[in-house]
Amino acid sequence: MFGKDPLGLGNDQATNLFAQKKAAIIALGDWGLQNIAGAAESIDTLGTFYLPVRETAGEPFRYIVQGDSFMGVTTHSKNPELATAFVEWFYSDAWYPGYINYVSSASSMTNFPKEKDPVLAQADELQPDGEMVMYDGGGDNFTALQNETAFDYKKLGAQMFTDGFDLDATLADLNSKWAAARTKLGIQ
Amino acid sequence: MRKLICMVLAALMLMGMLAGCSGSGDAEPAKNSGGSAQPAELKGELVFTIWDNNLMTYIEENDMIGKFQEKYPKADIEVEKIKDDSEYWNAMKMRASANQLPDVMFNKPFTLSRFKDYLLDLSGTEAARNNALAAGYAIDNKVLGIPMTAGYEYVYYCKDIFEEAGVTVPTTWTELEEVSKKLQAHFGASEPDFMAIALGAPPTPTWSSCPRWWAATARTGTTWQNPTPPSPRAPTSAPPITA
Repeated sequence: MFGKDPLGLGNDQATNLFAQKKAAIIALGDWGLQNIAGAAESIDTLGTFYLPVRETAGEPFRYIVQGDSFMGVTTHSKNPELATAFVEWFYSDAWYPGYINYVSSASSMTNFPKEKDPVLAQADELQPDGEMVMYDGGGDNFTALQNETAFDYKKLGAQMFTDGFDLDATLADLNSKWAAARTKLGIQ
Repeated sequence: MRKLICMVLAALMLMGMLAGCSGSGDAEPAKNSGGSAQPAELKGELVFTIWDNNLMTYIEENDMIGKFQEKYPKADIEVEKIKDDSEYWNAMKMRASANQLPDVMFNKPFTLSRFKDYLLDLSGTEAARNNALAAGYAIDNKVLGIPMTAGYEYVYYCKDIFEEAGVTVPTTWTELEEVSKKLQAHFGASEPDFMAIALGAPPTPTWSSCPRWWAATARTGTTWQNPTPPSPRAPTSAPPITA
Protein backbone atom coordinates (compact mmCIF):
# COMPACT_ATOMS: atom_id res chain seq x y z
CA MET A 1 0.00 0.00 0.00
CA PHE A 2 2.99 2.29 0.47
CA GLY A 3 4.62 1.48 -2.81
CA LYS A 4 7.69 -0.54 -3.68
CA ASP A 5 10.20 1.66 -1.86
CA PRO A 6 8.58 3.88 0.78
CA LEU A 7 11.89 4.50 2.53
CA GLY A 8 13.55 5.50 -0.69
CA LEU A 9 11.19 8.31 -1.54
CA GLY A 10 11.74 11.76 -0.17
CA ASN A 11 8.91 14.00 0.89
CA ASP A 12 9.14 16.10 -2.28
CA GLN A 13 9.06 13.02 -4.48
CA ALA A 14 6.09 11.56 -2.66
CA THR A 15 4.22 14.86 -2.93
CA ASN A 16 4.89 15.07 -6.65
CA LEU A 17 3.70 11.51 -7.23
CA PHE A 18 0.52 12.23 -5.31
CA ALA A 19 -0.02 15.43 -7.31
CA GLN A 20 0.32 13.34 -10.48
CA LYS A 21 -2.28 10.89 -9.11
CA LYS A 22 0.16 8.03 -8.79
CA ALA A 23 -1.05 7.78 -5.17
CA ALA A 24 -4.47 8.21 -3.61
CA ILE A 25 -3.52 9.50 -0.16
CA ILE A 26 -0.75 11.53 1.41
CA ALA A 27 -0.43 12.92 4.94
CA LEU A 28 1.11 16.37 5.16
CA GLY A 29 0.81 19.52 7.17
CA ASP A 30 -1.30 22.41 5.92
CA TRP A 31 1.81 23.71 4.17
CA GLY A 32 1.46 20.70 1.85
CA LEU A 33 -1.42 22.30 -0.02
CA GLN A 34 0.85 24.84 -1.69
CA ASN A 35 3.30 22.11 -2.68
CA ILE A 36 0.56 19.89 -4.11
CA ALA A 37 -1.03 22.79 -5.99
CA GLY A 38 2.34 23.67 -7.45
CA ALA A 39 2.89 20.17 -8.80
CA ALA A 40 -0.65 19.24 -9.91
CA GLU A 41 -2.46 20.07 -13.12
CA SER A 42 -5.54 20.86 -11.08
CA ILE A 43 -6.67 20.57 -7.46
CA ASP A 44 -10.37 20.53 -8.34
CA THR A 45 -10.75 16.98 -7.01
CA LEU A 46 -8.44 17.42 -4.02
CA GLY A 47 -9.97 16.81 -0.61
CA THR A 48 -8.79 16.51 2.99
CA PHE A 49 -9.74 14.64 6.11
CA TYR A 50 -8.15 14.29 9.53
CA LEU A 51 -6.21 11.10 10.21
CA PRO A 52 -8.61 8.77 12.06
CA VAL A 53 -6.66 7.17 14.92
CA ARG A 54 -9.69 5.99 16.90
CA GLU A 55 -10.68 2.35 16.73
CA THR A 56 -14.43 2.75 16.70
CA ALA A 57 -16.88 5.43 15.70
CA GLY A 58 -18.11 5.53 19.28
CA GLU A 59 -14.89 7.11 20.50
CA PRO A 60 -14.13 10.85 20.31
CA PHE A 61 -12.46 11.87 17.08
CA ARG A 62 -9.18 13.51 18.11
CA TYR A 63 -6.70 15.22 15.82
CA ILE A 64 -3.45 17.07 16.27
CA VAL A 65 -2.60 20.74 16.00
CA GLN A 66 0.83 22.18 16.68
CA GLY A 67 2.68 25.44 16.69
CA ASP A 68 5.39 25.64 14.08
CA SER A 69 8.36 27.86 13.24
CA PHE A 70 9.01 29.34 16.66
CA MET A 71 10.75 32.68 16.22
CA GLY A 72 13.17 33.47 19.00
CA VAL A 73 15.93 35.87 19.97
CA THR A 74 19.19 34.20 20.84
CA THR A 75 21.48 34.92 23.76
CA HIS A 76 24.28 35.47 21.24
CA SER A 77 22.60 38.55 19.85
CA LYS A 78 24.65 41.67 20.30
CA ASN A 79 21.50 43.71 19.87
CA PRO A 80 18.73 41.92 21.79
CA GLU A 81 16.57 45.03 22.08
CA LEU A 82 16.50 45.53 18.32
CA ALA A 83 16.08 41.81 17.76
CA THR A 84 13.07 41.74 20.08
CA ALA A 85 11.68 44.81 18.34
CA PHE A 86 11.99 42.91 15.06
CA VAL A 87 10.00 39.98 16.49
CA GLU A 88 7.31 42.38 17.70
CA TRP A 89 7.21 44.05 14.30
CA PHE A 90 7.06 40.71 12.46
CA TYR A 91 3.95 39.73 14.40
CA SER A 92 2.32 43.15 14.06
CA ASP A 93 -0.15 44.42 11.47
CA ALA A 94 2.82 45.86 9.59
CA TRP A 95 3.86 42.37 8.43
CA TYR A 96 2.09 39.32 9.82
CA PRO A 97 -1.38 39.56 8.19
CA GLY A 98 0.12 39.83 4.72
CA TYR A 99 2.38 36.84 5.28
CA ILE A 100 -0.20 34.52 6.88
CA ASN A 101 -2.64 35.20 4.04
CA TYR A 102 0.11 34.37 1.55
CA VAL A 103 0.72 30.87 2.95
CA SER A 104 -1.77 28.05 3.34
CA SER A 105 -1.00 27.58 7.03
CA ALA A 106 -3.36 28.71 9.74
CA SER A 107 -2.77 31.81 11.81
CA SER A 108 -1.28 31.49 15.30
CA MET A 109 -2.20 35.06 16.26
CA THR A 110 -5.50 35.72 18.01
CA ASN A 111 -5.53 39.30 16.75
CA PHE A 112 -5.06 38.20 13.15
CA PRO A 113 -7.46 35.30 12.56
CA LYS A 114 -7.60 33.66 9.15
CA GLU A 115 -10.21 31.72 7.30
CA LYS A 116 -9.04 28.31 6.20
CA ASP A 117 -8.49 27.44 2.54
CA PRO A 118 -11.63 25.66 1.24
CA VAL A 119 -9.66 22.46 0.62
CA LEU A 120 -8.37 22.39 4.19
CA ALA A 121 -11.75 23.41 5.62
CA GLN A 122 -13.21 20.17 4.27
CA ALA A 123 -11.56 18.23 7.08
CA ASP A 124 -13.40 20.36 9.65
CA GLU A 125 -16.67 19.96 7.76
CA LEU A 126 -16.28 16.19 7.91
CA GLN A 127 -15.58 16.24 11.66
CA PRO A 128 -17.45 19.19 13.16
CA ASP A 129 -17.24 17.62 16.64
CA GLY A 130 -13.56 16.70 16.40
CA GLU A 131 -11.34 17.39 19.42
CA MET A 132 -8.04 19.24 18.91
CA VAL A 133 -5.01 17.94 20.75
CA MET A 134 -1.86 20.07 20.89
CA TYR A 135 1.31 18.36 19.79
CA ASP A 136 4.33 19.72 21.59
CA GLY A 137 7.06 17.53 20.26
CA GLY A 138 7.34 15.70 23.55
CA GLY A 139 8.56 18.15 26.12
CA ASP A 140 11.21 17.50 28.76
CA ASN A 141 9.53 14.48 30.36
CA PHE A 142 9.07 12.73 27.05
CA THR A 143 12.66 13.52 26.07
CA ALA A 144 13.92 12.09 29.35
CA LEU A 145 11.92 8.90 28.86
CA GLN A 146 12.97 8.71 25.24
CA ASN A 147 16.64 8.91 26.24
CA GLU A 148 16.25 6.40 29.05
CA THR A 149 14.60 3.83 26.81
CA ALA A 150 16.62 4.64 23.69
CA PHE A 151 13.28 5.03 21.92
CA ASP A 152 13.86 6.19 18.37
CA TYR A 153 10.43 6.56 16.79
CA LYS A 154 11.84 7.57 13.44
CA LYS A 155 13.94 4.43 13.28
CA LEU A 156 10.97 2.37 14.44
CA GLY A 157 8.81 3.91 11.73
CA ALA A 158 11.35 2.84 9.13
CA GLN A 159 11.72 -0.63 10.65
CA MET A 160 7.99 -1.19 10.31
CA PHE A 161 8.46 -1.37 6.56
CA THR A 162 11.01 -4.14 6.82
CA ASP A 163 9.68 -7.52 5.82
CA GLY A 164 9.58 -9.83 8.82
CA PHE A 165 9.91 -7.10 11.45
CA ASP A 166 7.92 -8.01 14.57
CA LEU A 167 6.18 -4.81 15.63
CA ASP A 168 4.12 -6.49 18.36
CA ALA A 169 7.17 -7.88 20.09
CA THR A 170 9.02 -4.60 19.78
CA LEU A 171 6.16 -2.63 21.29
CA ALA A 172 5.77 -5.13 24.12
CA ASP A 173 9.43 -4.71 24.94
CA LEU A 174 9.11 -0.95 24.69
CA ASN A 175 6.13 -0.99 27.01
CA SER A 176 8.19 -2.70 29.70
CA LYS A 177 11.12 -0.34 29.29
CA TRP A 178 8.85 2.68 29.32
CA ALA A 179 7.16 1.64 32.55
CA ALA A 180 10.52 0.99 34.17
CA ALA A 181 11.85 4.35 32.98
CA ARG A 182 8.87 6.19 34.44
CA THR A 183 9.48 4.55 37.79
CA LYS A 184 13.18 5.26 37.70
CA LEU A 185 12.77 8.90 36.68
CA GLY A 186 9.72 9.53 38.85
CA ILE A 187 7.62 10.69 35.90
CA GLN A 188 3.91 10.09 36.25
CA MET B 1 21.10 68.83 58.70
CA ARG B 2 21.62 65.22 59.62
CA LYS B 3 17.88 64.64 59.39
CA LEU B 4 17.83 66.25 55.96
CA ILE B 5 20.67 64.02 54.74
CA CYS B 6 18.81 60.94 55.99
CA MET B 7 15.64 62.02 54.19
CA VAL B 8 17.55 62.58 50.94
CA LEU B 9 19.23 59.19 51.23
CA ALA B 10 15.89 57.51 51.94
CA ALA B 11 14.34 59.19 48.90
CA LEU B 12 17.23 58.09 46.69
CA MET B 13 16.89 54.51 47.95
CA LEU B 14 13.16 54.55 47.31
CA MET B 15 13.69 55.84 43.78
CA GLY B 16 16.18 53.05 43.16
CA MET B 17 13.70 50.42 44.39
CA LEU B 18 10.93 51.76 42.22
CA ALA B 19 13.18 51.81 39.15
CA GLY B 20 14.05 48.18 39.82
CA CYS B 21 10.38 47.27 40.10
CA SER B 22 9.41 48.92 36.80
CA GLY B 23 11.09 46.20 34.79
CA SER B 24 10.72 42.46 35.18
CA GLY B 25 12.48 40.52 37.88
CA ASP B 26 14.52 39.02 35.07
CA ALA B 27 17.19 41.32 33.75
CA GLU B 28 16.58 40.11 30.16
CA PRO B 29 15.85 43.09 27.92
CA ALA B 30 13.65 40.92 25.73
CA LYS B 31 10.81 41.32 28.21
CA ASN B 32 10.28 44.97 27.33
CA SER B 33 8.67 45.35 23.96
CA GLY B 34 10.80 47.58 21.76
CA GLY B 35 12.96 48.56 24.75
CA SER B 36 13.13 51.98 26.28
CA ALA B 37 14.51 53.63 23.12
CA GLN B 38 12.17 55.09 20.53
CA PRO B 39 11.88 53.01 17.33
CA ALA B 40 13.72 55.60 15.26
CA GLU B 41 16.64 55.45 17.68
CA LEU B 42 17.12 51.69 17.73
CA LYS B 43 20.01 50.86 15.50
CA GLY B 44 22.25 48.01 14.54
CA GLU B 45 22.43 44.98 12.32
CA LEU B 46 20.54 41.76 12.79
CA VAL B 47 21.03 38.34 11.27
CA PHE B 48 17.74 36.54 10.74
CA THR B 49 18.29 32.91 9.74
CA ILE B 50 15.54 30.86 8.12
CA TRP B 51 15.05 27.65 6.12
CA ASP B 52 11.51 28.16 4.79
CA ASN B 53 11.39 28.66 1.00
CA ASN B 54 7.93 30.25 1.07
CA LEU B 55 8.96 32.72 3.74
CA MET B 56 12.09 33.67 1.80
CA THR B 57 10.09 34.30 -1.34
CA TYR B 58 7.62 36.44 0.54
CA ILE B 59 10.39 38.39 2.26
CA GLU B 60 12.02 39.18 -1.07
CA GLU B 61 8.86 39.98 -2.99
CA ASN B 62 7.50 42.22 -0.26
CA ASP B 63 10.70 43.99 0.76
CA MET B 64 10.55 43.02 4.40
CA ILE B 65 13.79 44.81 5.19
CA GLY B 66 12.58 48.04 3.60
CA LYS B 67 9.30 47.88 5.46
CA PHE B 68 11.08 47.25 8.77
CA GLN B 69 13.32 50.22 8.09
CA GLU B 70 10.30 52.47 7.68
CA LYS B 71 9.87 52.13 11.44
CA TYR B 72 13.51 51.49 12.34
CA PRO B 73 15.52 53.55 9.85
CA LYS B 74 18.82 52.95 11.62
CA ALA B 75 18.46 49.16 11.59
CA ASP B 76 19.56 46.66 8.98
CA ILE B 77 18.75 42.97 8.59
CA GLU B 78 20.62 40.22 6.86
CA VAL B 79 18.23 37.41 5.99
CA GLU B 80 20.22 34.22 5.81
CA LYS B 81 18.53 31.36 3.98
CA ILE B 82 19.74 27.85 4.77
CA LYS B 83 18.92 25.12 2.28
CA ASP B 84 16.55 23.03 4.36
CA ASP B 85 15.64 22.27 7.94
CA SER B 86 18.08 19.37 8.14
CA GLU B 87 21.04 21.60 7.32
CA TYR B 88 19.55 24.29 9.53
CA TRP B 89 19.83 22.18 12.68
CA ASN B 90 23.35 21.12 11.82
CA ALA B 91 24.35 24.75 11.33
CA MET B 92 22.65 25.99 14.49
CA LYS B 93 24.21 23.22 16.54
CA MET B 94 27.69 24.23 15.42
CA ARG B 95 27.00 27.91 15.87
CA ALA B 96 25.64 27.40 19.35
CA SER B 97 28.94 25.81 20.35
CA ALA B 98 30.88 28.62 18.69
CA ASN B 99 28.81 31.37 20.30
CA GLN B 100 27.68 32.46 16.85
CA LEU B 101 23.96 31.91 16.70
CA PRO B 102 22.07 34.51 14.65
CA ASP B 103 20.16 37.28 16.37
CA VAL B 104 16.83 35.74 15.41
CA MET B 105 16.31 32.06 14.66
CA PHE B 106 13.49 29.62 14.26
CA ASN B 107 12.81 26.45 16.18
CA LYS B 108 10.51 23.52 15.77
CA PRO B 109 8.47 22.23 18.74
CA PHE B 110 10.98 19.45 19.24
CA THR B 111 14.08 21.66 19.08
CA LEU B 112 12.98 24.33 21.57
CA SER B 113 14.31 22.38 24.53
CA ARG B 114 17.52 21.68 22.64
CA PHE B 115 18.26 25.40 22.35
CA LYS B 116 16.59 26.54 25.56
CA ASP B 117 19.86 27.78 27.05
CA TYR B 118 20.43 29.99 24.02
CA LEU B 119 17.08 31.75 23.78
CA LEU B 120 15.74 34.83 25.52
CA ASP B 121 12.42 34.89 27.33
CA LEU B 122 9.82 36.65 25.19
CA SER B 123 6.98 36.33 27.71
CA GLY B 124 6.64 40.08 28.09
CA THR B 125 6.14 40.81 24.42
CA GLU B 126 2.89 41.75 22.70
CA ALA B 127 3.57 39.04 20.18
CA ALA B 128 3.60 36.38 22.89
CA ARG B 129 0.44 37.72 24.50
CA ASN B 130 -1.44 37.68 21.21
CA ASN B 131 -0.22 34.25 20.17
CA ALA B 132 -2.67 31.41 20.72
CA LEU B 133 -0.04 28.73 21.21
CA ALA B 134 3.14 30.35 22.56
CA ALA B 135 2.35 29.95 26.26
CA GLY B 136 1.56 26.28 25.77
CA TYR B 137 5.12 25.64 24.62
CA ALA B 138 6.79 27.58 27.44
CA ILE B 139 9.79 25.90 29.05
CA ASP B 140 10.37 26.67 32.72
CA ASN B 141 7.67 29.35 32.34
CA LYS B 142 9.65 31.09 29.62
CA VAL B 143 8.36 31.71 26.12
CA LEU B 144 11.45 30.90 24.10
CA GLY B 145 9.84 31.11 20.70
CA ILE B 146 6.69 32.49 19.16
CA PRO B 147 5.11 30.11 16.63
CA MET B 148 4.52 31.67 13.26
CA THR B 149 1.76 29.30 12.29
CA ALA B 150 -0.71 26.88 13.79
CA GLY B 151 -0.13 23.62 11.99
CA TYR B 152 -2.77 21.07 11.33
CA GLU B 153 -2.02 17.66 9.93
CA TYR B 154 -4.20 16.60 7.05
CA VAL B 155 -4.70 13.54 4.93
CA TYR B 156 -4.98 14.81 1.37
CA TYR B 157 -6.84 12.53 -1.00
CA CYS B 158 -8.01 12.42 -4.59
CA LYS B 159 -11.79 12.42 -4.60
CA ASP B 160 -12.05 11.06 -8.12
CA ILE B 161 -9.74 8.16 -7.29
CA PHE B 162 -11.81 7.36 -4.20
CA GLU B 163 -15.00 7.49 -6.24
CA GLU B 164 -13.69 5.20 -8.94
CA ALA B 165 -12.58 2.62 -6.37
CA GLY B 166 -15.92 2.87 -4.60
CA VAL B 167 -14.54 3.99 -1.22
CA THR B 168 -15.43 6.84 1.10
CA VAL B 169 -13.51 8.92 3.63
CA PRO B 170 -12.57 6.71 6.61
CA THR B 171 -13.49 7.80 10.14
CA THR B 172 -11.74 5.01 12.07
CA TRP B 173 -8.35 3.35 11.83
CA THR B 174 -9.88 0.10 10.67
CA GLU B 175 -11.77 1.91 7.93
CA LEU B 176 -8.53 3.57 6.82
CA GLU B 177 -6.88 0.15 6.50
CA GLU B 178 -9.81 -1.19 4.48
CA VAL B 179 -9.99 1.84 2.22
CA SER B 180 -6.26 1.69 1.55
CA LYS B 181 -6.39 -2.00 0.68
CA LYS B 182 -9.32 -1.48 -1.70
CA LEU B 183 -7.56 1.41 -3.40
CA GLN B 184 -4.41 -0.66 -3.83
CA ALA B 185 -6.33 -3.66 -5.16
CA HIS B 186 -8.35 -1.54 -7.59
CA PHE B 187 -5.53 0.49 -9.12
CA GLY B 188 -2.52 -1.68 -8.36
CA ALA B 189 -3.72 -4.44 -10.66
CA SER B 190 -3.18 -2.33 -13.76
CA GLU B 191 -0.63 0.14 -12.39
CA PRO B 192 2.21 -1.71 -10.62
CA ASP B 193 3.70 1.54 -9.31
CA PHE B 194 0.46 2.85 -7.84
CA MET B 195 0.55 3.62 -4.10
CA ALA B 196 -2.57 3.80 -2.00
CA ILE B 197 -0.57 5.90 0.48
CA ALA B 198 2.43 8.06 -0.52
CA LEU B 199 4.64 8.21 2.53
CA GLY B 200 7.90 9.83 1.60
CA ALA B 201 9.84 8.43 4.53
CA PRO B 202 13.61 8.59 3.99
CA PRO B 203 15.79 6.70 6.52
CA THR B 204 16.36 9.82 8.62
CA PRO B 205 13.23 11.93 8.34
CA THR B 206 13.45 15.31 9.93
CA TRP B 207 9.84 16.34 9.90
CA SER B 208 7.09 15.16 12.12
CA SER B 209 4.79 13.26 9.76
CA CYS B 210 6.49 9.94 10.42
CA PRO B 211 5.83 9.83 14.15
CA ARG B 212 2.24 10.69 13.43
CA TRP B 213 1.94 7.72 11.14
CA TRP B 214 3.79 5.59 13.66
CA ALA B 215 1.52 6.71 16.46
CA ALA B 216 -1.50 6.00 14.34
CA THR B 217 -0.23 2.65 13.15
CA ALA B 218 0.58 1.59 16.68
CA ARG B 219 -2.85 2.72 17.77
CA THR B 220 -1.42 4.88 20.52
CA GLY B 221 -3.13 8.08 19.52
CA THR B 222 -0.72 9.62 21.98
CA THR B 223 -0.18 13.32 21.81
CA TRP B 224 3.42 13.09 23.01
CA GLN B 225 2.36 15.76 25.49
CA ASN B 226 1.62 13.15 28.10
CA PRO B 227 4.34 10.54 28.19
CA THR B 228 2.01 7.61 28.47
CA PRO B 229 3.35 4.27 27.38
CA PRO B 230 2.33 2.83 24.06
CA SER B 231 -1.18 1.42 23.97
CA PRO B 232 -1.60 -1.85 25.83
CA ARG B 233 -3.86 -3.03 23.02
CA ALA B 234 -2.27 -5.34 20.54
CA PRO B 235 -1.25 -3.11 17.66
CA THR B 236 -1.68 -4.20 14.07
CA SER B 237 1.41 -5.15 12.20
CA ALA B 238 2.62 -2.93 9.43
CA PRO B 239 1.79 -4.22 5.98
CA PRO B 240 4.73 -5.85 4.24
CA ILE B 241 6.28 -4.06 1.32
CA THR B 242 4.43 -5.07 -1.80
CA ALA B 243 6.50 -6.61 -4.54
